[in-house]
Amino acid sequence: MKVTLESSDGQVFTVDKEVAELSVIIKEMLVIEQANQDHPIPLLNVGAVELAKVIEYCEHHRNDPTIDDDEDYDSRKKPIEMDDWDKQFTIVNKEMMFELILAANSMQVKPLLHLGCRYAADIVKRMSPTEIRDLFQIDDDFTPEEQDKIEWEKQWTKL
Amino acid sequence: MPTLRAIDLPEILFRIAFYLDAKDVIVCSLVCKFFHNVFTPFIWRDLHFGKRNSYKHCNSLTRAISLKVNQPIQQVPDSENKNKDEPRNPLLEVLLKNAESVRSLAIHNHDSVLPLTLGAACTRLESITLEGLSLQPQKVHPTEYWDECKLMIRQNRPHLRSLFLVNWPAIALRSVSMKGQTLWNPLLRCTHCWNLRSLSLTRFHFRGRYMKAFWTICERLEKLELERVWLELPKRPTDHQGGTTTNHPTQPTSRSSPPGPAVRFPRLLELTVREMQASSPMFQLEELIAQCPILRTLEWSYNGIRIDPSSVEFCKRFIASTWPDLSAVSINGYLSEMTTEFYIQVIKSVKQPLRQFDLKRMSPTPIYDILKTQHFKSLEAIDLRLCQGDKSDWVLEILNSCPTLQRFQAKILRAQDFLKAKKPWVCRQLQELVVFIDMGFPDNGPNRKLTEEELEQCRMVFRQLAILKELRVLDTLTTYNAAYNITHEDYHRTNHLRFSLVALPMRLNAGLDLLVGFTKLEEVSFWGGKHVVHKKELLWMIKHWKWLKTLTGGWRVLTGTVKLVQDKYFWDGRLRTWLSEQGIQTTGSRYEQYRENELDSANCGDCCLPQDEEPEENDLIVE
Repeated sequence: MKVTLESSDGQVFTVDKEVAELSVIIKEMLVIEQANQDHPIPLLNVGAVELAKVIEYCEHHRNDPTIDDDEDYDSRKKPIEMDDWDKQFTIVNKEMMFELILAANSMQVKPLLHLGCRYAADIVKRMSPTEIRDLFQIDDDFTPEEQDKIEWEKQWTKL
Repeated sequence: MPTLRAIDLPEILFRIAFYLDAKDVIVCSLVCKFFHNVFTPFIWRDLHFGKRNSYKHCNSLTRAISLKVNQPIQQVPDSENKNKDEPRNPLLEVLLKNAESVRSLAIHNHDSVLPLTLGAACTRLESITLEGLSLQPQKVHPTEYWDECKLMIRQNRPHLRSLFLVNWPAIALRSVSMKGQTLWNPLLRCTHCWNLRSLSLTRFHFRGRYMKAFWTICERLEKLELERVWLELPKRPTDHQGGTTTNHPTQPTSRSSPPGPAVRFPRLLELTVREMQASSPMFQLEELIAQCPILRTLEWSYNGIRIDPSSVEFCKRFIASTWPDLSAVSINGYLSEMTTEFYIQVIKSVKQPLRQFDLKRMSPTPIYDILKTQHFKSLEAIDLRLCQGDKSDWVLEILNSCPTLQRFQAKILRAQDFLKAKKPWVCRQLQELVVFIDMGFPDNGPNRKLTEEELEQCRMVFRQLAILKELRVLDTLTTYNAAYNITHEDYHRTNHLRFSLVALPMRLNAGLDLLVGFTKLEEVSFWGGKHVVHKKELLWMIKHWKWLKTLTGGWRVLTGTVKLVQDKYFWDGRLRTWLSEQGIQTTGSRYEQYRENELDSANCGDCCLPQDEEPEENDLIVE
């Protein structure tokens, strides 16, 4: 069975139901609107470029066992295997990957979300606070007092 | 209007945090206020007090923060004026402020009440480890420990899932002032921890009401580990039941039994019973193992010197489907009564894919063949160390065909066999690899330098190893002993294996740096008999293998005086001291004595100091 998905910019994608159901949100929608499957499912937060990429991911992982992580998304307990395809998949630019994380989050495609967050973690690993600020264009908004307090606390957090 | 970005959502940052380690989480918390709020709880999530090398239950990715509490601990005043001075301890202040973020607390061999005070302030603890309260009366009053301990367990009752208790005697033995008194232990407080699923007791004695509490807790456990535990069980009325074995023992408590067969561990999936000398193996089988109807994993080791039929009895029950879900079995005990035919019969009776099937001292070829044809796709642990012969062909076959393998112990892996095939191994989930990797180079004289071609072969081996990114234990040393014993009678002959085996040199010039991706590595044992591991390599290991806790080597030292010793860092204990300051222990190292003329100082490279030069203090500082 097929379902149609509509991106925020009006593009329509037709995919197998079992592929679309990797998204928890879509799966729930399909349960609720069982009778009404002629209309495309609108995905207001996901652009066409990202949606195409998400679908590509779901197509490849359609037969994977589902991961249930609502209670505790501690990756250490259930390490998710990254195969060669996944590695290939993550070779995109950083902006794209963060957009994908956002899309995976709003559609609740759990394995893709894990993959994206792992990728993001690998980027910030071994960086300094300044480098992270530069990367994400974040301002250092600590006041001098807060800075002092953090410095003081920091001495107890050393490994 | 700025568009929403992934890093603006706390739930996404949470997920990212789980892929970081403690150091990175601290860095992230310093980026901005928003990051600070999200990442700070992760800094305090897992706290370990005590020596780093005593961390037993932390995962390689656990953000374990080893606070060096020794210094501030001394600022904690004596128990008399503790209350009025307590807030002045800055460490405690910081800890208490973040108590809500702590999920796991481990206290190893500590004499201070501070970690327990923190524990009592926590309310979301999911895991507690308490090891060896030393009960030194001059340092702290035991009741103070216990009051805090009781409070800690009460405060965290609803969330507590795992409890690890090490070194709890039933009565005080060492402490002079309390000698002979019954000691309180935390089990008693756990009967109301309804979510407790995992319990581990090591060197633990208990009886009476503690025993009663234990049985109550057992009914909700999914995982239980008992090591050197002294149990005191009520006598079962065997006379009335004709002394026959039964799966339905009488309940030890007075509470009304539920209908149907009452068992002690109705929910237990994983059981480990080790070295329980105080009770007979048959008793352990009857009272513990037979009480777990849905057991999936069993590790059982007992003193196997005396003749004992319990392993055979276990197998009979296993064939009779006493444990229909049991798919991982490891038994180390008296197995001589078990014939190969019976063993085959046991393994043939298995209807489901096995994750492990290890009856130590027994691994003849027919069993290997059955495992190979039916269970290689599901096996998670294999131990070939006690097989006859080196079985290096099996070793390679296993690495090439067991995708789910996590722990693998064998004697010898011959590099030349797999270098030819150039096939990447399939066991990508391997966490523990214990095998001697023999490079197989001709002429193993202690003075011969490796040729460039040989070094390239070493690099190829490292490249092959490098795919095992989940590895926590890499041990090429302990099986070297086993290799010795293959042909024990030839020990003094010149063709003995110890002369022909060529270890993989753990040297940077041989490609050690290809193992840079081994971020989870905790334990390394290497054979440095010929190719000495030097400071350069040690610095590299410490820099890249952040979780390294144990580094055991076969160190090559010269016979004679300190002056003659090539690696004097090691010989005079400096290296060892330095490593232990880095949190790495070297217990279990072997020392191979060489005569002076057997050593080749040139092969040592530039990292060894000239023999008469004193090592400088700052030589040993990590960049």
